[in-house]
Amino acid sequence: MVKLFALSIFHKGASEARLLKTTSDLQSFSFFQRGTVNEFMTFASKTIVERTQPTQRQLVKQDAYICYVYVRADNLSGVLIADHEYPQRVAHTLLTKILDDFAAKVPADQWPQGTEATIAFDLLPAFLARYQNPVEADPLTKMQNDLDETKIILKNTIEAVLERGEKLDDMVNKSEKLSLQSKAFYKTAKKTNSCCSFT
Amino acid sequence: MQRRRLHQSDQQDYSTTSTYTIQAGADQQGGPAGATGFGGSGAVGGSGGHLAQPLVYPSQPVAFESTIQIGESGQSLAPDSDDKYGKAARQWNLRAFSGQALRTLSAAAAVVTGNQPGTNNNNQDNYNYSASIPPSGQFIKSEEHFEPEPEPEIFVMAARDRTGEFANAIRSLQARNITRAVNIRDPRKAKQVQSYSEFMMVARFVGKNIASTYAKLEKLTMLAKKKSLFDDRPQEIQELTYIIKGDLNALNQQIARLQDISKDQRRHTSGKHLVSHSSNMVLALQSKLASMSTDFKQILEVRTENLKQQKTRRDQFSQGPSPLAAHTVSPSTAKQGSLLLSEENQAVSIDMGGSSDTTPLLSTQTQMAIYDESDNYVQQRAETMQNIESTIVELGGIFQQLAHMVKEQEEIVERIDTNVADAELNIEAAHGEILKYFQSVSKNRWLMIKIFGVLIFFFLFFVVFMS
Repeated sequence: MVKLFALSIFHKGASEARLLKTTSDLQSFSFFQRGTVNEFMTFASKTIVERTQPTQRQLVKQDAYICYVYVRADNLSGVLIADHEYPQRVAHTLLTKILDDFAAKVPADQWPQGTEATIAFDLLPAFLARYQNPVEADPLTKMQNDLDETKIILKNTIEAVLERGEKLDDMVNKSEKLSLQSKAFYKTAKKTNSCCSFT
Repeated sequence: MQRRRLHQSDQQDYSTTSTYTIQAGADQQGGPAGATGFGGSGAVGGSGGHLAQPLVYPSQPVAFESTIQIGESGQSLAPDSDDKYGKAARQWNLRAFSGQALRTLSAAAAVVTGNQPGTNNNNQDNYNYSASIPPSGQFIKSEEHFEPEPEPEIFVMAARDRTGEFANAIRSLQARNITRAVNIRDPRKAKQVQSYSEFMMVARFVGKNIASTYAKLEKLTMLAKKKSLFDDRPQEIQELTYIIKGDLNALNQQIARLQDISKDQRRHTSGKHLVSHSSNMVLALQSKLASMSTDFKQILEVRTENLKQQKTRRDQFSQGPSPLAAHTVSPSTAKQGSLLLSEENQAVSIDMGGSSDTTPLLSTQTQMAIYDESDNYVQQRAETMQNIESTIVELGGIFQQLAHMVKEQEEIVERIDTNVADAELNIEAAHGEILKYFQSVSKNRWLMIKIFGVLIFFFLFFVVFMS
C-alpha cells in the first residue's frame, strides 16, 4: 500500500536547516509511538536537508521507508517520507509542487527566520492527504491508468465485435435458407394454382 | 564396442597396436600426410610395417563407393554414447563433402586420444588393392574379422596422443572430398588441388566473417547515431564495440594466414592463373577489411562526438551540481543522524551505537548518487511520457482495427438484409397464389351450383311441359 508519512518544508540556511512547516500522517503507528516517530522524522529530515546540495534531489532508503528530499537553488527544500511502494516520480513532483506553492504564498524574506508558528501556509495537510493516493493526485499517473483501462475496454470491445461477426455469419446462413425455402413455397403454391379445374 | 568401429579387416593383429585411421578408405588420399603421421608413431607393433607402405592409391572410385557403402551399413551399428569417433566417421562418410563432417571429426579427435578406435590404414589399402572385392564384402569381412577380437586388448595403449596425425588426415580427406570428381592419378596435381581447395575454404570463411562483422558494424552505427538524451544504451554500444574490435583482429589474423597459404601455394604450384587468382582474392579481402576498419573508426569518432554533446546538454538542463566536496556537518550530529536514520521507525529505541564510521561513507555515497537522482527524476518523467505516448498510439491502432472490423461486418449485414427481403417477397407471392387458389376454389363452387341449378330447372320445365 502506498503511503505517505510526513511532508515538511525546510529552509536550508548556511549552518543548519530551519523547519518551516511540517505535517504528518501517523495513523499507522500506535498512539504511544507517534510522538517519538514524529521527532525522529523531523530530525532525519533536517539532517538530510543539511547534507544535500542545492538543486539536487535525493532519496534515502531505510528498511521500509524512503525519504525524498529536494533542495532548490534558493535553499528552499522539501522532504517527503513515504514507504517503498510510492512511485518516485510522483514523490518528486509533489515536492516540486509544494515548494512552488510555498514560494508563491510565503514571501522569501520570511524563510530564514521563520518558524512553524510564524509562517502561514496551511496547504500541507491537504496535499498530504490528497497525495496518499498517487493515482488520483498525479496527472501523469492518472492518465496512464486511464489509458490502460481504456485499452482493456477496447480489447473487450474487439472481442465482442468478433463474436458479433460470428453471429452475423450465422444469420446470413439462416436467412439464405429462409429465402430458398420461401421460394420453394411460392413455386408449390403456384403449381397448385395451375390445375384450376375444380373436381 | 570399440570393435565395431573398426571397419577394416584386420589381417594382422592390430589389437595390440593403437593405430587409428579414418574409416572406410578415408585415408587413401590422405596418404602422404597420414602415412607420415602414422609412420611417426609407427613404433607400435606390427602395424608399423604396414604403415610404412607408401599407400599408393589405385582406384579411387572403389574407395569412395566403399566409403559410402560402409557408411550406410554402418548405420546398423548401434552408436555408443562415447562412440563419437565412429559416429563422426559415419557422418563424414555420408556427407562426404561438408565442412560439418570435418568439424565432427575434429571433435572426435579429442575423443580419439583417449580411445582406441584401432582401425588402421593398411587393411583399407589392402582392400583397395584388390579392387574387385565388392564394398559390402569389405565391410562384412571387416566385421567378421573383428568379432573374435578380444576387447580388453584394445584398451592397452590408451595414452597415445595422435591428434596431429588425425588433424592432418582430416585436412587431406577434406581436400580429397572436394576433388573427388577429378581423376587424380598425379599426386602433384592432387596436392595442388588440395591446397587450392584449402585456400578457398579459408577464403570463404573469411568472407563470411567479414559479412557478419559488417552487419554488426551497421548495428553499431545505428546505435551510435541516436541522439536522444535518455535512450542511450552505453553498455550495448560498448559491448558491440568490443566485439567488433575482436572480430577485426581475428579477421586480420585470418587474412594474414590466407596470405601465407597463398604464398605457400605459389611455391608448390605452377599455374599462373591460380596464383594470380589467389593473390587477387587476398587483396580483395584485405581491402574490404580495411574499409571496414575505417568505417569503424569513423563510428567511434561519431560516438565520442555524441557523448560530448550529450554531456553539454545534460549540464545545461540540470544546473550542474557543485563539485562533490564533502559536506561539513558537525560529526556528532552526523553520527546521530546516521544512527537515527538507520533506526528511525524500527523499535523506536535510541541506540547510540557505533555506526559512526558509516557517516563519511554515507555522505560520499549520497553525494555520488546526487547527480543520478535529479537525472533519474527527469529520466523517469521522460520515460513516463514516452509510455503514455506509445499507449495512445496503440489505442489509436486498436480503434482503427475496430472500425475496420465493423466495416467488414456491415457487408455481411447487408447480405442478411437482402436475403430476408427476398424471403419476404417470395412469401408474399406465395400467399397471393394461395389466396387466388382459394378464391378460385370457392368461386367455382358457386358457378357449379348455378349451372346445375339452371340445368335442373330446365329438366323440371321439360318434364312439366311434356307431361
